[in-house]
Parts: sequence; structure tokens; C-alpha cells
Amino acid sequence: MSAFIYNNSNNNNSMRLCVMGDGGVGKTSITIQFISNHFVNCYDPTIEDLYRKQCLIDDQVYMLDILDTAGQDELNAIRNHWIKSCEGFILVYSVTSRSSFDQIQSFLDQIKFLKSEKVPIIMIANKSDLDDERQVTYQEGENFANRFGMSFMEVSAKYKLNIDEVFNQIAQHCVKRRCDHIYINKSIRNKNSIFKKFNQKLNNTFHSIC
Amino acid sequence: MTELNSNNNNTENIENQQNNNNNTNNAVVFGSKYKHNLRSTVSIERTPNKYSDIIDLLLSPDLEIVSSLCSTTLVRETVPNSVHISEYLIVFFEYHCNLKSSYILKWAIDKEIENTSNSATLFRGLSTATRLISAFYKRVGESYLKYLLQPFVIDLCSRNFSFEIDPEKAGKGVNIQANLEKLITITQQLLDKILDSVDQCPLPIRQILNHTQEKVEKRFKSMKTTVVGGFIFLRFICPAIVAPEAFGLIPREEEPTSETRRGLVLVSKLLQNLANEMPFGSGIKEEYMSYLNDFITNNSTRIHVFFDSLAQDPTQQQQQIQPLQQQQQQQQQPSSTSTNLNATNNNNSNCSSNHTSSNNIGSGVSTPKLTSTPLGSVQQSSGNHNEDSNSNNNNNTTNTTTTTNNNNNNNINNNNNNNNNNSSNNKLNSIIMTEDSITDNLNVLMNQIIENREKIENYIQENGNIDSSSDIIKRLDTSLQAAKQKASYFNFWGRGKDKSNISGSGGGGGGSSGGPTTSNGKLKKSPSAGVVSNSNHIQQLQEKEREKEREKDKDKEKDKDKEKDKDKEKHASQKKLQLSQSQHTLVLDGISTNGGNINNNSNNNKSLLKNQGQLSEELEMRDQKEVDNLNLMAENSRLKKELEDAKSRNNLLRKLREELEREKSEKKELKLLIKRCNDRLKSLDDQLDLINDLQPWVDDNPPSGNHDLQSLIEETLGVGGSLSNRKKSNSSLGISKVRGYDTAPTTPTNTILSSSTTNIPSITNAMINHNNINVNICAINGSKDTTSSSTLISATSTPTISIVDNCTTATSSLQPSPQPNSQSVNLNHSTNYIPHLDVSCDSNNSSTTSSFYNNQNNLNSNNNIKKSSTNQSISESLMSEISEADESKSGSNISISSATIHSNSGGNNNNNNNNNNNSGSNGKGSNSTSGLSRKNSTTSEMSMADPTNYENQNLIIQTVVEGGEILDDSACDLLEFLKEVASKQELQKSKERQRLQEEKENKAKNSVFFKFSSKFSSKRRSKDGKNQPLSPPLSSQNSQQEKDSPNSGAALSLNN
Repeated sequence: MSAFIYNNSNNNNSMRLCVMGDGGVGKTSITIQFISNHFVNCYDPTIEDLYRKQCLIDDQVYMLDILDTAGQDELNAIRNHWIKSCEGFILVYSVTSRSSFDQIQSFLDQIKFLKSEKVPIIMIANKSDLDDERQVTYQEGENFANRFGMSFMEVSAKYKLNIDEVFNQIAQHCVKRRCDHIYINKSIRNKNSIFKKFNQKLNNTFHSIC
Repeated sequence: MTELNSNNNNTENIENQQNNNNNTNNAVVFGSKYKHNLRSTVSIERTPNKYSDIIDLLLSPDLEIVSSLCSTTLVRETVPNSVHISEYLIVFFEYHCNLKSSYILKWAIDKEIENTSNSATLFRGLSTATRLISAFYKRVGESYLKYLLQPFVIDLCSRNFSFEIDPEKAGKGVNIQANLEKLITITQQLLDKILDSVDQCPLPIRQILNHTQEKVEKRFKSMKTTVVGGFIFLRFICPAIVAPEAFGLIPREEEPTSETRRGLVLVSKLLQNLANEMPFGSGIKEEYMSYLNDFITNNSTRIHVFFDSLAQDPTQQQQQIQPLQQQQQQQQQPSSTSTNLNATNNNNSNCSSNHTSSNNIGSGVSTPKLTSTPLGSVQQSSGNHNEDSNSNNNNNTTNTTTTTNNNNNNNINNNNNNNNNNSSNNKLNSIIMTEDSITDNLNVLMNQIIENREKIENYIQENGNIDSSSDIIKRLDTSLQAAKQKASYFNFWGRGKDKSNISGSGGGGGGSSGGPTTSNGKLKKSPSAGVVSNSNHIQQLQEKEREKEREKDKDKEKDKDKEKDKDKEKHASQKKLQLSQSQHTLVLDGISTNGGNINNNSNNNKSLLKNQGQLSEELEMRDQKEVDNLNLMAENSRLKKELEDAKSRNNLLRKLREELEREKSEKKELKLLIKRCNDRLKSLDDQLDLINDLQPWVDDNPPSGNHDLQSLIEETLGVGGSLSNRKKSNSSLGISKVRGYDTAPTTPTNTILSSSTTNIPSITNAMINHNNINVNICAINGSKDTTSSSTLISATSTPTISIVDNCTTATSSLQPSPQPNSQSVNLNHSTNYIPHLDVSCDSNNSSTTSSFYNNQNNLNSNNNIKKSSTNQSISESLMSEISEADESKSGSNISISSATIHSNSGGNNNNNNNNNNNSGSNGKGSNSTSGLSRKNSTTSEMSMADPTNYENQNLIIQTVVEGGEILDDSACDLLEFLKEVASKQELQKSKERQRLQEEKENKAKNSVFFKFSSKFSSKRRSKDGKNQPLSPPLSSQNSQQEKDSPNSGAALSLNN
């Protein structure tokens, strides 16, 4: 059992992650394993669930807001809102379902269409313990991830294999991107300030001539 | 066109249904006939023949081509704005297939069920079946959704309030309870509408649901209801609620806000969990949703009824049970009523549950908040109070413990103090005992000493003579008296019986002393026997009497002591008389004394044991006590008197000592006074000696002075009476001239008179005669007085000292002297030349005379100024010289000589000549120098005067030479002075020449001055040559010795 830690978290110390994938691949089981450290056998379709956990990254505490989404295509309309509000994405597929692996492409296309900037994305293959029913190999997954610049990892929600590593890695990528983003913004501001000064000079000369 | 198509479809549907019935009857037929039969008549009639082959291929029984298309395009359809083949397939089958879209849907569903191994993931992931079904719902169920959801969504979007239940998301000010109530009410309303909409649901949807339920029931019995719920809510209703703009419920432009969308999501979640029969629980999903489980439990039965009713195909029921329509209608009616009742009950239960839940939630929510703060504060405050009280208690306990400890310490200290006190008391007691023992020991020693003395005295009596016996007896008496006194003191200060025994033993005599004691004992026995015979009452009286008797016994002991003393006296008298007794008697006496002591002790013991009591005896004893007391008081008084006498004696001694000390001090003072008187007398004697020393000088002076003066007078008078006459004429002429023309020369005459007056009182009686002579001379020539006095002074001084002093004074005098000499020279020239010039001028020219007179006036005024300055300088020199005792003599001489010079410069030529003679005769350097300077001045006068003056000059020169021969040492000095004088003369000459040149320049006409200057120079040269070869006469030596005496007289007068 784990109790939610209620803290007045600031924007700088909280980040929002989105878990996406086809229906029935194990998105909710992965998040609950990370949050509550136990496996859920019962199946209950998810419309939209939000979980929260506090973790330590680079000697600093961050609050992770994890958004568990619906995998059914009928709820595709609401997916846009999810993508806009999140800054990190965990794309999940099941090794026992080829269609779920094929559907990752559509998720990537939708993310790139909505996000103008490059965002940290990680692809994971769940149900790695069901080798008898495997339809997608490790190599296929790794090649696909490398092609699109994503990190790849096979996990098992039932046996809690590589679950914590997934969330820690995606969080670190978000922190790094955030720092880089700040640096870029500063440089942009400097450029803007230079242009402003130049414009002021031009205006002054213009007025002086008139 | 669409409307027409839809109408056609409807008509076709009816026909198809009829055909289906036939087909079911003819199920055995397959093959080409079946193929031919799948195609609809409309498609055959209307479509051209060229497409018939393609349609036949697509409509093959196994649908191979369709499956391949779906598999390839399945994933790509998820991309927005892409081609949706599934939609076109449904349209195709509805137009060209007799069974329409249901044929392909059933095919897909059967395939999905066969491929799925896990029941949990059935119809959850993306598949052809799910994809085709969703497309089918959009085409067929659009109107149904609008009927169900459009009012709800529009109403919810119009409101602007939130349904947030998550406490982490909601702020502190938000009331979560209110939001829960709102959420439940709106979902309940929506659910009621959905459950009542069974008849409005399209038939194709219900047919497909029936088919899926039958198939799933065969494979997964438990998933019978969940599958239907999944198709209806997960794939159809909930997506429309979450994204109404995508399903056309609201315009796409009007998207809901984040808050309204959150509310829509919550409603859909609630309905989904209800359909899936899965409650919200802790550890499964969001915990805050657990408050909504009551809604799920209350509505679970109704949802099952709804699903069963939807799954049933109404057409089949009507055909099968046509004759039982009435029964069915009857059954439906009570079910509807029962459902209504259930609804009402549920509503009531819901309300009650809501109230209870609200109460519980409120209590649960509010109570911890309320209790947390006050309990926390109370706990904190109570903790503080407890801590404070504990600390206070601890302090109190510590204080009490400290107080108890202090009390214990105090008790211990008190005990210690008590112990200390006890110990101190013991010490005091021990000290007291020691004191008592000391007193006892002292008494013992004194008694022993007394005994020894008695023994010694006895020996002396035996050996000694009769004559000395009287003395011995007296001594014994005195010793006995002393012993009595001591014994009385000890008795008086005594405390115990033992002491009395000791004293008794000390005073022990012969056997006679023991007798009366025994007799007293016998007397005591008889009354005691009488008392014993009396009764018991008398015994008490006896005890009292015994106490009295004890006191009496003490008094008796004292009486015994006195008796013993008397016995001693008797024994002494006997011994004195019986001087012839032998040593044996002494030894017996000693034995008898020892025996007496023993008897006394025994008697005392008996007296203690025996008791006597008679009033007569008591009274006697009291009287005796009084007598004893009186005796003691008398003795005390005597002792006091003795002490007083001693004190008085001491006081007297002290007084005597004080008197002695005073006398000693007085003597010392007198001695000091005597010493002082002696000192004064000595001083007076010294003064007298000085006075006596002074007398012979006074006596010695007069005769020598008289002789000298007389000789001088005779010489002067003898030399030239005519000179005196001439001098008078010259003096009269000078005075007349001075008075007539200038007032300045009068001052030196006044100075002469003042000097003469000052000299007179200083001279002694012997000098008076000299003064008388001088007075006579003064009447003739005033200048002589000064010279005579100077000669006397010089005579008194010693020759060596005078020489040295004269030299020093001469050197000092030379410095100021040139100026007055020059002055005198100028004056003399002016005075001497006036008469001749006057004569010549008067006779020749009057103008020249006036010019001469003016020049003379200027010169006189200048001379007066110079004189005043010179007088000041001389006075200063005199003061400095007078301070020095040795040089005072010569100083006076110089002053006098200088005064004379100034006075003589006035114009008295004769006086100058006389002075020069006198000064030259002295023979001293100073006088010689002054004489030489005077000679120079006189030379100018001699030119005008008679030739007799030349003789006088020669005499002066002789005197100077004589002085040199006498004092060989001084000759060198004289030569040096002469050289100096010569150098000065040269200086004077140069000055004169300068002045003359000035006069010549002013007055070139007068040739007389040139003549006079040539004459002066020639005369001086001749004089210098004459001085060297001359020899002095012997008579001048005597004159020099005589001249010294007045100097000494002057010195004495100054000293006096």
C-alpha cells in the first residue's frame, strides 16, 4: 500500500507523463505496479485516469503526474488533449499482439503532428513473460525504436521487470530537455533584445532625419 | 437521394427478412446457388453487367478478399484524415448483399472470438470486428445517440461549474461533497433515460448484440453481460460523452472547457464501471472514486435487465410465441411495475444512502479537520502543560527533596552540634575537675610546707641559745598567724569534708586533742537512741533532723579546726619552755600527730553515722557561725585597706617619677639656654676683640700724618711764596673770565666742596688736627684737601698689594681716561687763547670777535655733554670696584684723581700744577700715567706762563724716576705704560691735526694756529728725552712711606 503524498508542487518540480498504447496491452497494470507495487488481474477498461507519485531524480525531488489513457480507437478524439498537456510519453505494445505493435506508428505520427518540438519518448514491450504467445521479437522492437530515435525496453508488469527503470529514464530525459529548453529560451531572448535595440536605433535615426 | 436510398433500403430490408426465413428453411443448399442467392435483386437489376464479376468475388462465401483488405488497412485507418475502408465495405454490403451489413459483421465477430485466447482482452484491442462495429454504429445509431445524450451534454456545457472530486486537484476552498452529489444526480438522470430507451434502439444493433451474446456464451460463459456492456458503453455511449464534438452532438467550433470535459470524463468513468460491474476500490485505481461505489451497487440490477432486454431479438419472440401475445403483455406489465417499484425503492435507498454517506463523509471529513487542529493544539498545549507541570513537579519534588535533604542535614547538624555541646560540656567538666584537683593539691602542699617549717624551727630551738629564743618565738607566732589566715581562707573557700580532714591532720597535736572529740561522740550517741525508740511519724522528723545534723557536722568540723589551732599554740609554748627535751620527744610528737589524724578520721566517720538533734546546740552553732563570719569580714576589710595603701604608694611613686622626668627636661632646657648665652658671649667677645684691634691703628695715625702734612706745607711755601701770589692772580682771572662768559666751570667747584664735606665726618679724632690744617689750606687752595686725604689712604696699604691693585686699576682707568684728557686739553686751549685774541680782535676787527665767541659757545656745550657722559661711566666703575674689597682702595684714589682732573680742566692752571706734583710723588703707575697726561696739558699752559713753571716740571720728573728705582719689578711695568701712553699721544696728535685741518679749511686767514701747533710738538719731544737720565732723591722715599698711611686710614674708615 502506498499513500499519495500531497505536496504543493510547483511547475518546476512536477512533470506530466502520458502512457499510450492499444487497448488491452497493459498500460494500467504497468502504472499501478509502479505506483502501488502490485499486479491487477481483473480487467477494467480505462477512460482516463491520473496517478501521482514523488520520486528522486538527480538529487532533486520531482512529482510525477502519470496519465493513463484509453486505448480504444473510438476515444481518439480526446487523445489530442492528452498529447498537448503532457511533456513525456511512454508508448506501450504487447509482444502477444502484432496489431498493437503496428499501431505504435500512428501514435508517433499523432504526437509529432501536435508537438512542434522534439519530446522525450520511450517505447516499451509489455507481457515479455508470455514467450509462448510472442508475435513480435525483441530485435524488431529495437530496430523500430532506433529508427525513430527512441529508447527501447522490454518489461513485465506481472513480475515487475524494468518498471521503475522506465519511469526514471523518461523523467531524466524530461529534466534534461527542460534544462536545454531554458538555455534555448535565454539565447532567443538575447537575440530578440538585440533586434529591439537595432530597431530603436533605426527609429531614432528616422525621427532625427524627419 | 439519400432519403430515397434509405427508403429503398428499408423496403429491401423487409424483403430480405422474408428471404432469410426462406434461407433458413433451405439451409441445406450451398454452392453456386448460394452464391447466386447472396446477391440482392436490386444490385442485379440496376448495376451494369461489367461489375458483376467483381461483386461476385467480394461476395464469396469465405470473404477472402475482404479479409485481406481489412488486414492491410486496419492500422492506417487510425491516422486522422485517412481513407476508412471499413465504412465503404459496410455500405457495399448493405446495397449488394441480401443479408446486408449484418453478414460481414457476424463474420468478423465469429472470427474475433475464435482468435482470442484471453477472455479479458476480448473486443478490447484494435481488430476488424471492433473497427467495423464502430463504423456500423456511426451509420446506424446516430439518431439514437442524439436522442439520449444531446440534451445532457448541452445542459452540462452551458453550466460553468466543476465536478472535481480528486482532493489533490481541487483547491482547499472546494467542497468535494457537493461535487459528489452533483455528479451522482446528473449521472442518475442520464442512466434513467438510457435504461428506458430500449424500444428506441435500432433493430440492427440489437440483432448484432444478440449474435455476439450467443457466440460468447458458447466460449466464455462469464463474459455474457460484460461483452454487451462493452459494445454499448465502451464503444458507443462513453466516447460520445467524452468527445461530443466528434460525434456531432455539438458543433465542432464549440469545444467544451477543461472543467466541463473533466465532468464528462467522470460521468463516463462512472457509467463504464457500472457496465463492467467493477467497483472503485483502494489499490486498484484512483482511491477518491471509492465514494461512488454505492451508485454502482444500487444500479447493478437494473443494468443487467437493460442488457438482457437489448440482447433479445423482438422479431424472433413474436414469431415463436404468436398465440401467447396476451400472456407476454401481462408479464411485461408486472415487470414494468416491479421495475418502477424498484426504482422508487432504489431512489429512497439512494436518498437514505446519500444522506448516510453525506453524514459519514461529512463526519469523516469534518471531524478529523476539526479534531486535528484542536486536538493537535490541545495535545501540544497539554503536552506543554504536562511538561511544564512535570517540570514544575520535578522542581517541586527537587525543592522538596532539597528541603528534606536540608532538613536532614539540619537535623544531622543539630545532632552534631548537640554532640559538640556534650563534648564541650564534658571538657568543661573535666576542666572544673582539674581545677578542683589543683586546689586540693595546693592545699596539700601548703600543709606539708607548714609542717616542715615547724620541724625546722624545733631543730633550731634545740641547737640555738636562750637569747635567740625570743626572736624564734616571735617568728613562730608570725608564722602561725599566717598559717591561720591561710587555713581560714581555705576553710572559707572549701567545699568538701576531705579538705577539713586535711586541715585537721595538718593541725594535729598530741593525745589531748583526741580526747574532746571522743567526748563529743559519746554525747551524740544518747539522743539518737532516744529517737529510735519513738514511733514511725517521728522517723520522718528524724530524716529532717538528720539533714540538719549533717549541716551541723560541717560547722562542728570548723570549730574543731579552731581548737586545733589553739592546741598548736599551747604546744609551741611548752616547747619553748622545754628547750632541754631530746630528739625522742620530737619523734613521739610526730607519731602522736599521725595518731591524731587517724582519730579525727574515725571521729568524722562516727559523727556521720550517729545523729544528734538539740535546739541549744543549733543556736550555739549559729552564733559561732556569725562570729566566724564577722572575723572573716574583718580580715577582708584589713586586706582591702592594705591593698588601698599599696595602691596609694604606687600612685605616689608614679608622681615622683613624673616629677623627676619634668626636672630632667627642665635641666635640659636650662643647659640649652646656657649654651646659647655662651655662644652669644663668645660672639660679643669676638666683636670686642675686633674693636680692640681697631684702636691701635687710630692711635698710630695722628703723629705721622701731622709730620707729613707739615713737611708738604713747608716745601710748598718754601719753594715759592711768589708762586702763591701769582696763582691767586691767575685764579682770580680764571674765575672772572668764567663767570663773565660761561656758567659750566662753576660745577666742578661745587663738586670740590661736596667732596670735602663728605671727607670730614669719616676722619677720627686724631685726623681732626689734620683737618684743621687742611681747612686752613682749603681757605687758600681747596684742591689740596683731596690730595692730602689720598696720600693718607695710600700709606696704610701694603706695598705688594698696592702695586698689583694699582696696575689693574690703571688699566681700567686708562680706557675711560683718554676722553676727559682730550676734553681738558680742548678746554685749556680755548680758555688760554681767549685773552690774547680778545685783545687783538678788539683793537682790530669787531666781526672776528663775534665769530670766536660763537665757536667758543659751541665747544663749551659739547664739553658739557662729554663731562656728563664721563661722570656716568666713572660712577659705574666705582660701584664695581667698591664691591671688591682689595681693589676698593685704589678705586677711590682713581676716582678722586679723575674728579680732580675734571675740576682742574675748568681753567685753574695753578691747581693743576700742584696736583700734578703730588700725584707724581706717589710713584705709582696710575698716578704716573695721570701725571703724564697732566703734564701734556700743563705744557700748553707753560707756553703762555712764566719760565718758573719749567722748574716745577723737572721736580715732578725726578719723583717719578725715584719711584722706579725703589721698585725694580714695577720699572718694567712703567716702561710698558710709557709705551702705551706714547701710542695714545700719537693718536691724540692725529685727532688734533684733523680738527686743525678742519679749522684751517674754515679759517685759512688766521696764521696764529700754525705757530702754536709747531711749538707744542717741539716741546713734547724735548721732554721725553729729559725723563730718561734723571735720578731720584732719597727724601722722596720717606715721603712715599708717609703717603701710604692715609690710604690705610681711608680703608679702615670704609671698613668701619
